[in-house]
Amino acid sequence: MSTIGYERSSLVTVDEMIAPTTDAPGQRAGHGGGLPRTLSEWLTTTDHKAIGVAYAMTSMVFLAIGGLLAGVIRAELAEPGLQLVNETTYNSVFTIHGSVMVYLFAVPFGFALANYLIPLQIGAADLAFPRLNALSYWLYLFGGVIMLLGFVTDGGAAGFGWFAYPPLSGASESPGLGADLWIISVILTGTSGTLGAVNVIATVTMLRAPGMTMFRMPILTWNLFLTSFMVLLAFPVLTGALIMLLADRQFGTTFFDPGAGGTPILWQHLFWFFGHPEVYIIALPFFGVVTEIIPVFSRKPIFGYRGLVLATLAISALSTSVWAHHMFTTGQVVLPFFAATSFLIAVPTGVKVFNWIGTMWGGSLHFEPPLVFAIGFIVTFVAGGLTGVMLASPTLDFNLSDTYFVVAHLHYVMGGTVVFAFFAAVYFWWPKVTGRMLGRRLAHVQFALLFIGFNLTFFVMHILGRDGMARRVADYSPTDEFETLNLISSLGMLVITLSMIPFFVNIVRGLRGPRDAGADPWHANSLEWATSSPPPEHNFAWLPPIRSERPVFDLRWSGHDDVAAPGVATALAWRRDESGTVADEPSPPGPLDDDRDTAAHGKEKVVERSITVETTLWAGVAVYFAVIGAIYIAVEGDPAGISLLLLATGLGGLVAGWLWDFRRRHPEPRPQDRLDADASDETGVVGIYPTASVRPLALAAGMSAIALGVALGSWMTIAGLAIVASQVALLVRDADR
Amino acid sequence: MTAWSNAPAGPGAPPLLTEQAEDIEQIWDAFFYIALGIGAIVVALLGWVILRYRHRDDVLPVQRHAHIPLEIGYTVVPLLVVVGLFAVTFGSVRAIDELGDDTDLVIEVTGFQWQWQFEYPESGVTVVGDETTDAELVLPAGASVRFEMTSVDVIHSFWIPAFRFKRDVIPGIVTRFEVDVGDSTGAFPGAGVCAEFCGLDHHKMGFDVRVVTADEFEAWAAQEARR
Repeated sequence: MSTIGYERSSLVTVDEMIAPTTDAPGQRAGHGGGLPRTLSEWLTTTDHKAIGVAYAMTSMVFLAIGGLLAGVIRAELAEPGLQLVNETTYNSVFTIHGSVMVYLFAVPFGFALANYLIPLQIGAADLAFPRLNALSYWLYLFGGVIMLLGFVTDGGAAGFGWFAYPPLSGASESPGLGADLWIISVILTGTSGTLGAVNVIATVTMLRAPGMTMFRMPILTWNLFLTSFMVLLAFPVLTGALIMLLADRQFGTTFFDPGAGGTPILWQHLFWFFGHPEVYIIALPFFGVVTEIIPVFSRKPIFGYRGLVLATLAISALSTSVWAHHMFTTGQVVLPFFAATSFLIAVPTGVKVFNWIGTMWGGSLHFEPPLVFAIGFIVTFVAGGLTGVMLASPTLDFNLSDTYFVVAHLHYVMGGTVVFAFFAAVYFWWPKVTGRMLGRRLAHVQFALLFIGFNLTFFVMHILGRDGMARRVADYSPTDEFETLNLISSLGMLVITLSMIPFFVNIVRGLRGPRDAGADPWHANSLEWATSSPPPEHNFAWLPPIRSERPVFDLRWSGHDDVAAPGVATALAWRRDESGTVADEPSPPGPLDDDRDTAAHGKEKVVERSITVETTLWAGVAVYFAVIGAIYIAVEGDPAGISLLLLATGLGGLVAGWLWDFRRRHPEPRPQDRLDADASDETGVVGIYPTASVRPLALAAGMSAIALGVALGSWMTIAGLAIVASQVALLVRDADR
Repeated sequence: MTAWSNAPAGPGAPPLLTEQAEDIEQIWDAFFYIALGIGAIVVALLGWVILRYRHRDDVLPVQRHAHIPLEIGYTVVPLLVVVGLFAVTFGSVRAIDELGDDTDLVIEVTGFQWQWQFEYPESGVTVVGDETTDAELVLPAGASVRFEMTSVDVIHSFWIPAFRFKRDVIPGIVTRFEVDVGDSTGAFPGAGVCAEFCGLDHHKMGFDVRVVTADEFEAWAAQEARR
C-alpha cells in the first residue's frame, strides 16, 4: 500500500453517522451527557461513566494533596537544618506523600480509566457489575479520607514510610491512632481494587461487542485487563499482610515481632510480593494510555500490536517473580534468581519503547497536547528504566538501595511517567468526557514547565544518592556537600508547581468553552470516539462495523477500499440496504464476501475464538512457571526448581482439559469471537442495568465501619456489621424475587 | 570541605576504601556507560522521528502494522544486553557477598535508635555513639574485616558509601559481610550512614570512619581497652 493524499471531505465522520439517532430515547447528550446532576444522583449512580469521572476527580484531588506534601518535603530539604517542620511531622509528610501517590492517586486513576473507557472501547453499555463498581469507588473514597484523618489525630498521621516495615510500624514504635488509620485505609482501598479487578476481567471477557475479538481490543483495554490479573494476585496478599500487622498492633499477635518468634523479614516478602506487581499495576494502564495516543497523532496503526500484547503479558508474569530485589540489602534472599528476573523484565519494557517509536516512524506527527505529553512520558520512562537495570544488579544495588538514587529512579518510573501519561490522558479524553476542547498553547506551556521542573527536581537526586545521601532524612549536615543539589531539586519542585497554573487556567477555560468538540475531534481509532461527546446513557445508539483494532479509523476511511480494513465497506453497505426499503434478502457481510480479506489473511478465517486467546493466557502462565523453574535450576544449581516445572505441567494439563471441555460444550462461537459478526443489530441491551442504587454506598460505609472499629472501639464494628448484614439481607430478598 | 574532597572516584563521590569498593566501582562504570549509550540511542531515534516525521501535508502515511524481523531484533538485542549485564554482575557479586574462612578482625555492630555500637571482641574494645558524639569505626589498613550486625529495636542499615556497600541491620537475626580494607589511611567524619528509615532521628544516625595503619590500630585498641 502506498501513501495517499486525501481531501478531508472524502472521509466519513462519526458525527454524520450518529446524527440521525441523537433523538433516540435514553439520549441525554446536551444535559450533562448522562452524568448525574444532583447530589443524590451522584451518591446513588452506578453508571460507569459517572463513577469513572468520580474516580478521576477524586484521584486528582489526591494528586494535589500528594503534590502539596511533596512541596513540604522539598521546602524542608532546600537547605540544611529544620526550618519548616519537625522530624515527627516530616516523617508523617513523606509517609503520606508516598501513600497518597501510590494508593490513592496512581492506582485509582487506572481504575478511572478502566471505568470510563473499557465499556466504551469494547462497545458495551456498562461494566459487568455496575453496583459492585460503585462499591469499589466508595471503599476507595472512604479509605482515602481515613488515611488523611491521621493528620488530625494525637501523634499525627502514620510516619513509617509507605511500605510500613515492622517493627517500626508495630505498636510499641508507632503507638498512634494515625498508624491504625493508615493500615485500615490501605485495607479498604486494597479491597476496592480487588473488586474493581474482578469487574474488569468479567467485563472484558463477557461484554465485548460482536466482532470485537480479543485481538481487536485497544491496547489500553488489554493492559487494564492484564493489570487486573496482577491486582487479583497482589492485592489480597497485601490485605492479608495488613490484617496480620493490625492484629500484631491490636490483638497481641506476633507475626512480625522478633522478640516473640516473629520475623520482620516475613513482612518484607509479603509486602513486596504485592509491592512489585504494584509498580506495574500502576504503570501498565499508563503504558496503555500512550499506546492509544501515539497512533492517533501519528496517523498510523500501532506498530507491533501483538508484540505489545505479548510484552504486557511478559511484564505481568515476570512482575510476580522479582519482588525480592527490594530486599537485596537484607542478605536474606536468593540473589541470582531475583536479579535474573529483574534484568529480564527490562526486555519487554524495552520492546514497548521501540514499538512506540516504530509507530511514530514514517508517520505524520500532529503535536497536539496528548502526543507531546506522551513523548515526555517516553523520555522519563527510558531514563527510569535504565536506572532500573542498574538497580537489578545486586552489586550496584547494595550501594544504591535506600538512597536518593532510588528516590530518583522511582520518581522517574512511577512519578514522571505516571504524571506525563496522566496529563496526556486528561488532554486526550477531556473532549470525550466534557464535549469541550482544551487550549493547545497553554498545554504546551504546561508541558515545557513540567518537563524542565521534573528533570531539575529528580535528575540531581541520582547524584545525591551516589554521593551518600540516604532517603527519608529530614535533614542533612552542612558538611555533606549536599546543599547545591538539594537547592536545585527544590527549585525544580517550584517549577513543577508553576506548571500547574496553565493547567488550571486551561481547565477553567475549557469548562466554559462551547460544547463543540464533536464525537471524534482527534481523528482517533477506538470505539469511544464512535459515540457522541459526552456519550449518552448506555453509551452507544450505533456501532460501526468492527473489522480491526481501529473501527473508527476504518469507518473514516470506508470510502477508500485500500485503506480501511477489509469487509468494512461491505458491512456498511449491507446495513444501508437493510435500513432502506429494498431489503432484497441481503447476504450477511463478512470477510468471506471480500476477496481481499481472504488474501490478507492468507486463509479463510472467520472465527477468532477469544476463548482460545483466554486459554492461551493461562497456558502462558504454565509456560512461565516452566521458564522460571528452568532459570532457578540454571542460576542456583538447585533441583528444587523442578517443583515449578511440575506445577507448570499440571497447570498446562488443566488448561488443555478445560479448553477441550469448553469446545465440547460450546461448539458455536460467541458473537464477540466471530471476525465477521456485525454490531448493527446487537445494541438492544439498553435498560438491562440498574442506573441507581444506594446499596453500594451503604455497604461501603458498613465495611469501613467494621474496619475502623478495630481501632476506634467495637461499637463501631457492631454498627458496621449491622449495616452489612441488612444490605446482604436485602440482596437475598431481591434474589428471591 | 570534607575529608574526601580529593577523592579518586570523581567529584562529590566518596573515596574507595575497600578492595570490594574498587571492584564495584568498575561494575558501576560498565553499567553507567552502557545505560548512557542505550539512552542516547533511544533519545536520538526519538529526536529524529520528531524532526523528520512532523505533520507536513494531508497525506496518509503508509499503514504499516508490524515488521516481524525488526521486532524480533529489538527483542533479542536487549535480551543479549541484559544477559551480558547479568554475567558481569555475577562475576562480581560472589566476591562481594560471600564470607571467607579467615578474617583478620571481627567487628560486632549493634544498631539502636539512633546510634551505633562497635565492639572489637578480640581486643575487648567497645565504642558507642551518643547524642553529642557519633561513634567512630576504626579500621586497620590492609586487613580483612568481618562485620556481624544486629539491632535491638527496629531495622537499620549499615551503609558506608566509601565501601559502595550496605547491609541491613535486623532485630532477631545477625547479618554479616566482609571487606578487605585498602591501604590508604585517613579520617572520614560522617562517612557512615543509617540507610533504612528507623523513626524520629533517623537522619542523625551517622558514624565516623578512620582507617589507620596496623600498628596504630594495635596501639589504639590497647589504649581503648584500658579505659
